[in-house]
Amino acid sequence: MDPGLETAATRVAEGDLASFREVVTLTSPTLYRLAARLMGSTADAEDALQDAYLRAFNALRARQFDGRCDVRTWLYRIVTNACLDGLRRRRVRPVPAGDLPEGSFDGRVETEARLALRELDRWLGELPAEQRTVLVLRFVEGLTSAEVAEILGCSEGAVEQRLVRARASLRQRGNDHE
Amino acid sequence: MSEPEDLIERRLRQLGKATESVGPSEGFDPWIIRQAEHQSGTRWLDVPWRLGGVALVVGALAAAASVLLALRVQTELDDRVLTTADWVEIEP
Repeated sequence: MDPGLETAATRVAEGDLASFREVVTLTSPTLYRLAARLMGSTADAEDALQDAYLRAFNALRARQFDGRCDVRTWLYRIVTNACLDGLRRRRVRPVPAGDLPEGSFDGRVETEARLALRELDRWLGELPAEQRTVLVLRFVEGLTSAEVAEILGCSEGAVEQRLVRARASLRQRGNDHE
Repeated sequence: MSEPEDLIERRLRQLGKATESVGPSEGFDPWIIRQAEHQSGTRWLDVPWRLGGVALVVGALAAAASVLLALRVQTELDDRVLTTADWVEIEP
């Protein structure tokens, strides 16, 4: 739990709206990375994050955050849901992988990261959004099954089941490509 | 059967490590922040406890003013009551 983040979120809920900048400053690096990994593109990640911060801001103002989990987990959940919505929209109107717009990158490390992001997207691209999400949260983000269950609002058993299905889909895809 | 699963997990963890440097650009500033900062100056009374506090203070001031007014009226009335000495003076 991050006391600074908890305090800033409480201040926003109590009406100090300017404190929302602190919430964004404290969380945007982690949440941006999560969104990029889930979406497989930095441009889509930025859109999803804007959407997620808007949802979070409105929920804090309306005092809908009940404090049953810490603010960081709650924000993870909001970003994941925004990305799931984005992935479902993309499934309806697919964008060719080569045409995915990318944010500005400088330096060698970031170019490597961009390539890794593309590979991740290519690898998970054909999975249903829910399976892709559970794989990213569990293995790319390195969260425990319990944490993934809390973010997705389901049981640990459901998370394990989705993981099994996702792995089976990836194995099947690997066999098809061979 | 567990071999392909290990490979999948390992590759995903590798991709996770490779994407650790992904982060927002320097100028990343969600528009909602500016919106929030703009609203913070104008919506002070939107917060229920602040509105309640203001109502409480106004109510307390009104009550105090009523008491003061009542005391003043009472004092004026008391001043107007004529004593026996006054009657003696008035009567011829």
